[in-house]
Amino acid sequence: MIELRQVCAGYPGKEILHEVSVTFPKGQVTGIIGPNGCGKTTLLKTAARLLKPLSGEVLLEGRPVSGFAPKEFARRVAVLPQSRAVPSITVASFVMHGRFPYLGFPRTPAKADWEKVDEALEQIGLAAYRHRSLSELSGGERQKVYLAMLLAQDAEVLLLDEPTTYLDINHQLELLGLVRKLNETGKTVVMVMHDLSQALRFSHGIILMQEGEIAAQGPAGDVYESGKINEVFHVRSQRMQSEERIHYLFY
Amino acid sequence: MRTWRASSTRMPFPKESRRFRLLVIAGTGVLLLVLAAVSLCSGSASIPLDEVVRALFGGDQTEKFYQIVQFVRLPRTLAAILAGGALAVAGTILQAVLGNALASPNIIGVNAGAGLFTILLAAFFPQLIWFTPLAAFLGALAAALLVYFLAQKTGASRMTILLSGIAVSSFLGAVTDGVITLVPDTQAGRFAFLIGGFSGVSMDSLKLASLCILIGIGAALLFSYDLNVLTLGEETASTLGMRAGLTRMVFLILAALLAGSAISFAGLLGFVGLIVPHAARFFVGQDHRYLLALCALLGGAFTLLCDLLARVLFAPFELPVGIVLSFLGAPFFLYLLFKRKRGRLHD
Repeated sequence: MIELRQVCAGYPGKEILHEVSVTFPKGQVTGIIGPNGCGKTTLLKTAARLLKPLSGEVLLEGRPVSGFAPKEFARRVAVLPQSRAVPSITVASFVMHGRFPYLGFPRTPAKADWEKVDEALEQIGLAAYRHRSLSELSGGERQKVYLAMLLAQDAEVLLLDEPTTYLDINHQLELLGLVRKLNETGKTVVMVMHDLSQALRFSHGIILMQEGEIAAQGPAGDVYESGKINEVFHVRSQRMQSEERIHYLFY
Repeated sequence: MRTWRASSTRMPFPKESRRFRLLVIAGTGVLLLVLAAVSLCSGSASIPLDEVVRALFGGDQTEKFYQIVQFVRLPRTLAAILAGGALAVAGTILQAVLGNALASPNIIGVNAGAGLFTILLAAFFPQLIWFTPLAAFLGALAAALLVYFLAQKTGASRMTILLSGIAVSSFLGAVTDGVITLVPDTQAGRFAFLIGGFSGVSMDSLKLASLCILIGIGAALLFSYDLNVLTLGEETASTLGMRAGLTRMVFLILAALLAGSAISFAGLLGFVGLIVPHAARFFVGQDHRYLLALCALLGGAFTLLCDLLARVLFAPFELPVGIVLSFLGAPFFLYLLFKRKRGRLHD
């Protein structure tokens, strides 16, 4: 479980988060939503220890995150950043980067590390791509390879910053389906998302942000019911029940 | 439990296979040896290979061949191999650390920094001439750090790094020219230094620099996997448990050590650090565990080949190797710029 207590965060001369207190519950998928520039990515980066809070504290399992050694933290929390490099190396070599927190010097992977890589690729459905070059893959496939790297990292918590950016709707749904499957294996997932319908559909809990503050947080259905999403985004919405599930329409 | 079945899987991308890459590295090693043999045999006087071997491993010290091989061609050949390897590895490191495919020691001002410090040493502390490699290293490091911090302050985009480097390079070059003009004693031999070449190199002048180069290349190879992780970006590297800022700084110091050491005896050789990493990437991709090893060998082979061309193209006259490298390097740099403009340069 990650917890932010009274956290102010941002960049020199520009505070973006103002006394934010949130909890990402263990074993759940939490979606962070909000208009552009409201501080979603800043919140995720602060939780991921990429940004040091200006004040307040960030706790992982009750311990301040600053107290973890870098590799120790990386074994517990894996992060999918917003900008993703695409080096010209094989898929397997790329996914092996996820084992970096476990590699001693001189960084020679053991058989067990390769097994983790194979398992991650298998889980993500890309086992046949093991020897392909990453730069040859499509955007959707690359995104999945990144997810496989996070899986190889074998961390309990996955922090994903806009995991579906640049993907077509088919790949978006496939990737989010994968995320839910990973959650079913016990992973705690936190996702920054732009698509409100998908955020409500694929998350157990929602954190709605506005101008660096939390506008609402709680179970996805409750946050929708509160009407706060419509208020913050200045939109109208409709909830529809199909045979399979509830759908949300924003317009 | 599943088992690792890498060996039983077909490899649809053989260029990325370990065997292919090791083969390329071994082949380049053989090419380097062949070129070294040609370099030792060729020159104003041709020397048969068996005489070269005899001169290298003993022989009569009063013989003409022995003196040519031991005092002229061997230092020159070793200098070309070491300088080329060092500059190519330094270029690869800079391209990875700065995230810019157009970065290389001469373009981002590292060469100019090393050049300025060696000129300052020659102008104001001529009695300390033995410390030339150290001065070159400090100059290279100062320039690399200056470009790095300037780019950080102004946004660290690819173009910013390049423009910062060009500005730093021009400024340091102007200071160098100023020192040469104001202290005319430094002028002797400075022309050759500014262009770059191996004609006056002796085994003594190679000792300290070659030690630094071997240590630098060894350290770069040892930490090559970390360079792979760093190329994913500072944020991703940090989330994987790397102290990314510290690692980046260590690699900058290594690049400066390599470039500075090479420049201390070879002068301001340009473009090796740009051309070779790109050529090597074409063969082995971006995995730095293979890329750095190939660059060390290919950089040596390429520079040695250019030096051979410089010696034979207009024989009996000899061009400084820096001129040949610039003839090849400048069009290659433009080619990369155009390729980048068309969006095909993804590294």
